[in-house]
Amino acid sequence: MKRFLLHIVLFLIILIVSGFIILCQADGHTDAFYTKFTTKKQNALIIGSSRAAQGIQPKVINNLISNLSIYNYAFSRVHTPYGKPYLSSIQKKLDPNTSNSIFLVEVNPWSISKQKGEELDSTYFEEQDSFLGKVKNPNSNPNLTYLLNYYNGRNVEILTKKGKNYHGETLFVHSDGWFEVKLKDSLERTTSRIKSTVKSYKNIRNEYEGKSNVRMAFLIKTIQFLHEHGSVYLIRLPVNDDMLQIENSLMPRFDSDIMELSRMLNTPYINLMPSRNNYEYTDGHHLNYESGQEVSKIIAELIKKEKL
Amino acid sequence: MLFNSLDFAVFLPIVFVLYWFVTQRNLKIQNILILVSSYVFYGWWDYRFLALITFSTVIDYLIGLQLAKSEDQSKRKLLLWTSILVNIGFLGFFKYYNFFVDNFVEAFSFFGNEIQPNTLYIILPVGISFYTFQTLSYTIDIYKRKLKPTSDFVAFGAFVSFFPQLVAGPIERATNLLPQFYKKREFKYNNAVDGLRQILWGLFKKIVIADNCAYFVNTIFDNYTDYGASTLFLGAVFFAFQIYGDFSGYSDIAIGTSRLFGFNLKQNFAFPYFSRDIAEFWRRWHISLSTWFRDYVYIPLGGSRGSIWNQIRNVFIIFLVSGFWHGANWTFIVWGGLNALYFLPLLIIKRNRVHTNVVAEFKVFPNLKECFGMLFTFIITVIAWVFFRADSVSHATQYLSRIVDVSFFNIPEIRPTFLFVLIFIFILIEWAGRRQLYAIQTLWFRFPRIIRLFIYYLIAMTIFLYGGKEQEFIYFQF
Repeated sequence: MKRFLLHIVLFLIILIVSGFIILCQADGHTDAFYTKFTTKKQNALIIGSSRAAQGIQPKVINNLISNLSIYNYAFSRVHTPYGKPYLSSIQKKLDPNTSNSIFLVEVNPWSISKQKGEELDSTYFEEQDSFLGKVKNPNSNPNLTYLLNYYNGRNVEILTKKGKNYHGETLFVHSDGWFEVKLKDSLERTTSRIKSTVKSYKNIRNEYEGKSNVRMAFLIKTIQFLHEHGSVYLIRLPVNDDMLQIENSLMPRFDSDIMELSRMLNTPYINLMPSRNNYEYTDGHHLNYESGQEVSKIIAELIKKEKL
Repeated sequence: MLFNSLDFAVFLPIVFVLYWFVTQRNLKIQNILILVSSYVFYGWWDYRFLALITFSTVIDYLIGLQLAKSEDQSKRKLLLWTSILVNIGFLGFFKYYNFFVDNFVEAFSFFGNEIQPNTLYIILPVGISFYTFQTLSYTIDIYKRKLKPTSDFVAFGAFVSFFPQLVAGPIERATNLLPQFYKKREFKYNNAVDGLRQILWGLFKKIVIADNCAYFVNTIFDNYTDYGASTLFLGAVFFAFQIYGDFSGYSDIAIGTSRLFGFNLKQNFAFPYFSRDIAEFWRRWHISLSTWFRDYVYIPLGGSRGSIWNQIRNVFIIFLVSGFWHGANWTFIVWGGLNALYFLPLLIIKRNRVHTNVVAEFKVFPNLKECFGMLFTFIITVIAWVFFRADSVSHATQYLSRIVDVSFFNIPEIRPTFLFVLIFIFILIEWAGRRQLYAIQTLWFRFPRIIRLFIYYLIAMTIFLYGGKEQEFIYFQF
């Protein structure tokens, strides 16, 4: 028996060590979220949905605003609508000693809406069962909780998905949290991608009821929490006309609601939607690399002006 | 608790240590440990399921004792029927109630009478089809005086709920498993290592083969109108590997786990895809269920005795009942019927017991005739599996009708190279180990131990690296 146990323990140790070494290879190529849970606590944050994750480039902002090292801690429509889980994750990601910092809070109708049949109250949120609610330490490298429970790919892909041009496309989370997406683009491909995204969002729209008072309350709580550590800017990123139409049908009074909130909390609202036709999108609502760069620059300039 | 879960990875070592280090000296306490662990394992899904298995255990235990005491034939019959009705009653209610109600409603509306269905929201207790058959075999065997009842309630409870095979078999006969609870189990290094080896191979089949196939099978079956014939055929082939990897993988883990505790369970799969005809396939696929139906349904019906019409009737009954056992859906009944149709020609020309040995038993490669036989059997099995996987009979027929198309000769739209390679390696290993109880049982014994260990390490790392997304075992729903 002792011999058996000794052999099995040795064999398991070798396996666990091998597995651990492989998991340690996970990085920004692994998926769209993993590295955001592996960096240290931050002093300035960009928060919001995938639009912000892809569209707001911290490097551009940091270059234009001195002494700023802003980190992109935005995820996706599904994972980070405003609610208790996201607020709690932000609280864990933010260095508690932070003061006089800058926070960009991206808002859109999806992030403060309620899905049909979703039983929201101030204690339960659907996303709390996803990695956002379950990863208790978002500052650990490697983050085994995430990799073992929420990484969706096969582990072999941690080793093989390397290099910036996987399948000729770039999907990479930078060390500042920005999710760089460069797809194989041609007019035909982009048009077809936009068409299919708009179609799918029309269906998603039907899954949503409209504005949620609970989510709105948590957006306010999030802003109030961030106010304790610096200046907060509400940002609405642009989308194309078709996507805007869908969003308007979901929440026709979105802009006026956010403006009211902006006044109430004394928080500037940067609405980039009116200039939406100046930009290009990978799929109708995510800014492409160049447009993201441009938008990030505009945001930085506006903040600089505001600060002065 | 799933075998391929972290919960089980913690549960198993705890029970193992308690079993061999704490309770080893007292057989009764060891059996109590098995009983309690099995109830924890089962209750992990839903504690409410425990009431059902407890009730079934108590009823069959008491009926078993009464059957042995009584010499009055009519009383014995009554007792047997009580056991059958209770067990089949539970199964019928939990598994088939809504199916029958829905079909009655449909039948009535066909004749112009609209009635309001009174279906219920019923949760199907995991593994009910398996332990029900296991306890039934106990009372039937006592009734037939093939088995003496046990007065040891703990041993009987442990036999019914034995966690390695509780939820998806193998369906053990009381004559094989129950006596093992009476004897002191001794730890044997070689048995335990053999058990671990079989668990490793079972995990490979489930996590690498079945779970990876499942992803593509779901994509293809759910969007079958979007794909050409060759992709649809590939989807059906993937499902053949998924269900084999899933179910035989589960059986391997169950048998291997039992060996860790000093128990021997019967082989449940004997490399069925290397069968040269459908009769051989059914001797090699889900052996514990096939033999259960053979012994408790087919033979009492007359089996292969009597006129050819009786034999045909019996074959149809057994396949249809077997199909229906798998689930409350017409797809399973059609799947059973189709297999009966495949089987009939062999029965009529009396060639249903031609291939009773291992294919190419003393050779490395099969001959042309054997290759053709295996390929033909595999293809007709794949066609039948489409009914097994489809959501409805019309889904299956549309799926199959789309396969009959010139696009069958096109390159499939879905071509997961890594999966092709894994399946190819899997087939090679299974072929090389087809004379064993499971493929890697003694496969690399001619190599030095260190090489063998390295191969097991590679298998384990393949599971870690190529494991598909965790999926429930298909047979849990049956």
